[in-house]
This record gives sequence, structure tokens and C-alpha cells, in this order.
Amino acid sequence: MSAEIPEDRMTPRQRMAAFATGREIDRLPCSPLIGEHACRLTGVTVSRYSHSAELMAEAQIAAFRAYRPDSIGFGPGLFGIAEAMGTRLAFPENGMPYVEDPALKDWADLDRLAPADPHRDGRLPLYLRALEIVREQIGSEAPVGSSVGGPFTAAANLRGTVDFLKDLLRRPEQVHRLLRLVTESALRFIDAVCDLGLKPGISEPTASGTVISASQFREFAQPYLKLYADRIIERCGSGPQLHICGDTSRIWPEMADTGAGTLSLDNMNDLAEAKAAVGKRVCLTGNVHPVMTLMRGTRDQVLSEARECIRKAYDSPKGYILSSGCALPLDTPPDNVVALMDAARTYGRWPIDPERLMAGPVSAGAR
Amino acid sequence: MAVEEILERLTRGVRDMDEELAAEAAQDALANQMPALTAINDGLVRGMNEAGRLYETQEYFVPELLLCSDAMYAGLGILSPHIQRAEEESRAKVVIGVMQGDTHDIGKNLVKLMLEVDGFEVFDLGRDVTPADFVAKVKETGAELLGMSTLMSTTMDAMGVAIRMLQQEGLREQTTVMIGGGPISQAFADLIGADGYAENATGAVREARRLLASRGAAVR
Repeated sequence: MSAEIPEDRMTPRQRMAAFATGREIDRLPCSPLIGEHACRLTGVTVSRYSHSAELMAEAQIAAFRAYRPDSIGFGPGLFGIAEAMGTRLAFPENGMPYVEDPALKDWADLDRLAPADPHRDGRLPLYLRALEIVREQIGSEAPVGSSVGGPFTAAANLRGTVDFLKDLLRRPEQVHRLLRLVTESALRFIDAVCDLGLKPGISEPTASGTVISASQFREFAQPYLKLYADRIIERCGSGPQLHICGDTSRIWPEMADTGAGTLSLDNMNDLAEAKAAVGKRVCLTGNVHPVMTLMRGTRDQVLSEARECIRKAYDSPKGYILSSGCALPLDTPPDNVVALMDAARTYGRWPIDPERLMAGPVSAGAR
Repeated sequence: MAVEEILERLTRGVRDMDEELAAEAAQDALANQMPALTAINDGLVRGMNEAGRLYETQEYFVPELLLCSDAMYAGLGILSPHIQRAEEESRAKVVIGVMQGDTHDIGKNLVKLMLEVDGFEVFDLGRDVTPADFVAKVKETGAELLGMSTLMSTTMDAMGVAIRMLQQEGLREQTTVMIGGGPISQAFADLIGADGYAENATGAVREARRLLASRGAAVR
């Protein structure tokens, strides 16, 4: 049976403003982590996209028009802060950038590293310019934000990830010095984003629960993440979204302790467990499988998994936002992102009816 | 110095991430005419296996394993040149690498080490390896097992390409194919017709053993 997909009755901006203050909304918010996938909508290569504020803005605006997600967020992400401090990246024509030459191969060079200037160093000015364009064009319709790499991730990309991980045990004092330095860079970028009237979010993939222990997270990531969050709260009035990859169940309370307002969970985690553990403290978002479902699945598989996510988390005390479990793979079929949005429109229609969320064939018709 | 004491220091050097101790104990093993292979298998390898168990019980994570791995290689660097060829038994061969388009190799290196520790002969092609190069190396070495890794969703499909190439070369039947990495899952392994998948390095070794045993392959 094929049911009509209810039309949105609020703009993303109206919906998120109501959501934030606990007022009535037309449907559950949905904000997939779009990232570089946007460049597929305008047909530019990742490498050209990564080097032009105009092309970035154009792609992100195209993604907004195509999907109508409840926020648009893009930014220096995983590598931008390290790059602005001297790490050299490689830009494959049509794949994701990666670290080619880390800046801090020798700790003796630590004294030569300086905090980045967001208006001058690396590609940070490009992101700021692109954010400004996007804000001008769609800021009235949707919240615009910027993802900034977390301290642990940025430091790993300055030092080289393997050496950085070993240094947690071999040279903890040096590691803390480096973390303080990258945090200073990030705070300057955060300020620049806030100066544009936009709210930064944090992605911290290298501090993954599958890579480091909870005690390493507490020692090397949490205190610096808190400095990020403190600054964002000071400038924007509420805590940022924090995304960490992998199984994070052991560090959910610590993630909430940073002051983050929303925890973005990887598909490895169970939303029902997260709701029970930290749902009273933070909003949750996630966690449809980005690869097996969104990139490789059918429309019905997307609808079905999204419905399951909603069923587990829609009644989380501090709210729930439907999303992908990690950044969308570049080659995610746009129809599947539309399907994710349609799941929010159908199963997340307010007020949510638990009956609609029961397992069985999905019934949000084809487009 | 007592044999047991040397072996214990080799084990402890690796397990406790003490590169100097592992190297020192390796020198002592040679000075005491201990067969290099005994020092490796009953000393270093035992330490790495203990580290693997600590990883499974979540006392160790990736940083600890990386340092254990350094200590292991420090000891191996000293002992390997002294292995008497006759001491060495015939071992199952594995070709391993990170798929073309990807340079993340921490996971692959840990799998490689754990396979070596478990007695496999590993041919490591490194990172950014084309499907054709994987297949060529399997053909050249006669490897029983092919292990491919990626952290990127953009490069996953090339694993299926490599499997089809193995078929075209008539090598599929005799080669066990295992895949792993961030975006990989059992469902994806089933989809592209890989024989096995594991979530982490210690799981990969167990899966490799299980698959080869089920094929009746002679392993060590």
C-alpha cells in the first residue's frame, strides 16, 4: 500500500526554533550529515569543491534545495585545523582528502607551531566565505552551521595518527601541549564562525570508542572538547552537536559532560540504550547505516531502518533528530537521502503515533 | 641466564610495551644460544598473544597494541636473521593490503602482525593497492588467503572487483578471501561473495584459522 507523504508545514528554521524550545512541530527533525556528498549534486569533483568557496556554497545550497534537511552544516571538518597549522593534505580528484605529510613529525618542531588564523591560514578563509554565502542565500529558511574537527582528531592529523596514538602513552605531556595548541586554533575558528552568526558543531572521529579507551578519552579528549563547547555555549547560548565515530557507549556520560547539547551516534550504537543512558541530559541524533543502508540500500530499506531509529528514540526526553550514523558516503544515491527525509515526514509526523512505527512493510509511497 | 627467564622477559617486553626490554632479551637469547625460533615463538609471540587477549577484554586499545607491535618488531629485528631455515615449518601464505584509493593502514598493520604472530607467512602489499595487484600477488605466491582492507566507503566496491578477477584467473576456488575495515560488515562480505569478515585484528586471525580449517588446508 502506498501512502501520501505529508508535506512539510514549517521551514527548517521554524521547526528547529520550535524544537529547541519544546513547542509544537509538524514533524520530527531530520539532518543527515551531508558533507562532501553535496558536490555530487552539482557535478564538481571533490578536489575542485574543496578549493573554492563558491563551489562549496553552490553544492551545499543544491543539497538543501534537493533534500530540505533541517540544518546545513559544513566546514573544515577532520583536516582543516591541522592543515591550517601546516599539515599537507592530498586531494584525490574524486575521493576524500587525506593527510599526506603531517606537520609535526618531530616533537622538536612543536615550538615552531602557532595557532591558526582563521582569516588567513590554510583553507579556513574559504570555508568562512562559503558559510557566509550559504547564510545569505538560505539562512532565512534553515539553520546554517559549521563542522569543526575536534581537538583529538586535529592533533592526530598534525602529528600523524599512528605516532599520536603511541604518544598518548609515551609522551603525555607533549600530547597535552599539542592539544592546547590545536584547541586555541579551533577556538579562533569557532569565534570566526560565531562572528558570522552561525553555530559550530564538533566532529571528533579519531577519539572513537573503537580506537581509544574511556580513560584515554577522559584524559586527552574530554577536557579540550569541553573548552570548545564552553566557547560555543558562551557565543551561541546552547551546546554544540558532537559526533564521535564507532562504539561510544562507554563514553556517553563523558560526551554529555563536555557540554554538548546533541550527541550524534554512529550506526554501531543502539539508540534505545543511548536514550536510557543519557537521553535525560542531551538530544540524540543518528544513526541510519550510512554505507549498507543509505549508500547501498533500497528506498524501502532506508524507510524501514529510519522507522526503527524513530521508534527507539522519538520519545527521548531531550529530543531526537533523525540522521545518518556518520557522514554520507560520496556516492549515496540522492533518492535515498530523499527517502530518509520522507521517513521523518511519514513516521515522524507530529504527534507521533507509536502504531505507525511498528515493524512490517513500510508504507511511505514511492516518489 | 635461565631459558625460562629470557622467554619471560621477551613475553613481558612485548605485552608491557617495553621495546628496550624486548630488544635486550632478544640479545640475551642469542648470547645463550637459544634457537631464534624458540625465542620468537615462546617469547615474543606469547607476549603478542597476551596483548591480543588484553585487547579483547578492552584493557588494551589501539595505542597499546601499536606499542606492543613496536616491541615485537624490535625483538624480531634482532632474532629473525638468526632463524635456521630448517627450523622453519611450512606456513600458510596470506596476501594482505589496503584497497586502491585508501591510505588508512593502522587496522591492516594490526591484522598483519596478528597473522604473523599466529604463524602465517604474510605478503604485505601496503596501501592503495589495485585489485589487479592483489590478484597478481596471489598468483605469484600461491597464497591460500587474500585479506583486503578499507576505511573508505568509496573504495569498497573494488573488493568485489578483486574477487571477480580471482574468478577470471581461475584462482577463486583455492583462495580464501577475507575483508575488513570501518564501512565493511558481514552483510557486505556476503554481498560481494567474500568468504570471511572480522571486526578487529584478533577476530581476523580466528576467522582465518576457521576458514582455512573448513577448507581442510594444511596450516602450520
